[in-house]
Amino acid sequence: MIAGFEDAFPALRSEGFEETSPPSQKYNCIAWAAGSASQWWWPYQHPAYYWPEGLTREVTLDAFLRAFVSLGFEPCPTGELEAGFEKVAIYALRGKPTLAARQLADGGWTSKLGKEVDITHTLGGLEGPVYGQVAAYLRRPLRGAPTQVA
Amino acid sequence: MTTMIKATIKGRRLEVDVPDDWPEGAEVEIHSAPEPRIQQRFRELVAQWKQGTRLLSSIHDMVTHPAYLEIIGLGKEAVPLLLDELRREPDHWFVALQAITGTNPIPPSACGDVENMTEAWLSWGEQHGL
Repeated sequence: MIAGFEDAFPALRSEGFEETSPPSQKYNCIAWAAGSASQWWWPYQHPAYYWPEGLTREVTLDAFLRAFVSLGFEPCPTGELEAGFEKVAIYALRGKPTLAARQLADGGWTSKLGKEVDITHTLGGLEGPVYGQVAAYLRRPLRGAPTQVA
Repeated sequence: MTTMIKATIKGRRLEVDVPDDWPEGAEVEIHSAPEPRIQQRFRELVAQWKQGTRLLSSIHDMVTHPAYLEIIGLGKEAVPLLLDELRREPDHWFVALQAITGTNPIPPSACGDVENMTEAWLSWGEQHGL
């Protein structure tokens, strides 16, 4: 386990996880959840950071929901596996989005942890002091999504 | 063209070995290296920032980390150090570089692409002899 993970994610070891990529500064969890492994997505006012065109750049749950809606997702009530859909879960801490996770075909989840590695995990495994709790789920009809770093 | 060579201050004179291929009459700009004290503090702050932000996706949280703000506070002396750091290990130093220099050389086509954003800043540095 990468140094410091146990303090940051108290439930990760007991819930189970697997590292699936080397560390990378090239992309973050929002990009990874959206299907990109080549950009850092964040609604920062600095124009150099990617955010879907025409959307408000602010760190609110509503802004993040709109970003995924612009990609064809729609809000849904749970993170349960549903045939024919892929899902995204958005974590928030004190009301601010911190992480997006993407559901895999087996019902597990994949996330990029900041500038560190990608992991597969349960939703509960990443809840805690760093990313807070899952605050919203979205789904869209299944179409190709990357399963490894390009 | 930008070439880095070392020079030594002796008394009030600058001693430098001029490369053989430099033509007579070429104009030369001199940039002093940051003080060792600042270099040392910069290294400490980079280590603190990397450790403190490694799990973050939020650019807002990265650029308001106390170590990042202190690096911005180092001012222009931090610019060559930041560019060296980008050469060594690309990371999110773009906001700091823009805050210090007041410029943003990143083209819209590089938006969100850390490698190309890094390349844009390194090219800017070369154009400015850094």
